[in-house]
Amino acid sequence: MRWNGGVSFPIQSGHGCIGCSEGNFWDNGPFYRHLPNFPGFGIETTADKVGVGLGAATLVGIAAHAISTNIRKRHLIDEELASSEDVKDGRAEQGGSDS
Amino acid sequence: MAAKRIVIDPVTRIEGHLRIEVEVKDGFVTDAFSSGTMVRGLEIILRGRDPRDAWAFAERTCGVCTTVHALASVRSVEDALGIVIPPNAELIRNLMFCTQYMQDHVVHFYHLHALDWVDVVSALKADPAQTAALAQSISNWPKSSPGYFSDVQKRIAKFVASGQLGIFANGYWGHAAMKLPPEANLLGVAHYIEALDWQKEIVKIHAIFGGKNPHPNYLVGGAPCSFNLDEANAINAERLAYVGKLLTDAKILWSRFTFPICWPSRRFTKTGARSAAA
Repeated sequence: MRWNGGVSFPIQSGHGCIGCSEGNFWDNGPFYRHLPNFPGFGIETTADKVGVGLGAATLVGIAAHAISTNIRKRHLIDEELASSEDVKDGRAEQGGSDS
Repeated sequence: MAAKRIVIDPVTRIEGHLRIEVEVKDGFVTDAFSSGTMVRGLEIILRGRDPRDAWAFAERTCGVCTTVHALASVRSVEDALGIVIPPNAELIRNLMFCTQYMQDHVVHFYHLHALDWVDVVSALKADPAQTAALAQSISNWPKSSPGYFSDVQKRIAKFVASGQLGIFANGYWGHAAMKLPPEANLLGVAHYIEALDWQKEIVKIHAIFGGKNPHPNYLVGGAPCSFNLDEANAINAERLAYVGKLLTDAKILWSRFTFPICWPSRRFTKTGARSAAA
């Protein structure tokens, strides 16, 4: 929803939403802290903890991906190398017969 | 001659309650006192809250003079913490403040108190041609034609005939203290309607820099806007041009009629002169 004949709204103007159209918004603050630090979020954690957890999980994921990629690619690279050597050998043989 | 004390309480046609006490001696005001007599409890509401949030509560003191209380709040917090805001933030705040200053004067003049001395019902008796002549004698506003005033009159007639006067139902129409002639009343009502339309336009500047009006957003330490002339999601060239257009329109409109409306009032009545000077 935009304000004043569709001109703008808080996010577009650059400010965060303070939820001013919601019931009791004045007691749902503070407005300039991380959302999950609010009392009553219902989950025994905070944005920072979730962030650290996600970060660690991401690192584990990246590492796992790197390892699996390495294994998979190593196999592909070996195949690639083997086939290109075959071609090289073939060309070499062909070239040899031409000359 | 002993000092005389005049008390006006409440002062009407403002948001909230106000008491004025004036001391008069030998025909001159020697002292004056004003007090806001309504407890809003904002100081109590703000206790224990994050000072960065205070503006949002203070701002909601009033929806007519929105913005200024928020501005006073962020300035107070910055003063307490020794924060100096960037020059661009100062410019944005000044633009928002001046927008409020203009809009609030117009709203107060026309929509809060003009109809205490401009008689809407009397405007129905006005001659549109004479009203146009009166308007043209005051300023070169392009709409001051007999046809325009005739249209405004028809609009008022339709409104009065509907019997649903809404907020105008309790006006003192026809009261002896309303001394303007019908033509000046029609001019006043026409400007009232124009001003009502304009005031919703000018506050779009608040929407651009503060997200909305009433109660645009402020920020302790500066302004929340990001600037990039070419970026769709920032205060860009289009937004700034829009602000420029609104300000230019305001200048053209108000140089041609907000203050001129005071002149017929002075010309025709003593009461009008006092109202216009207030």
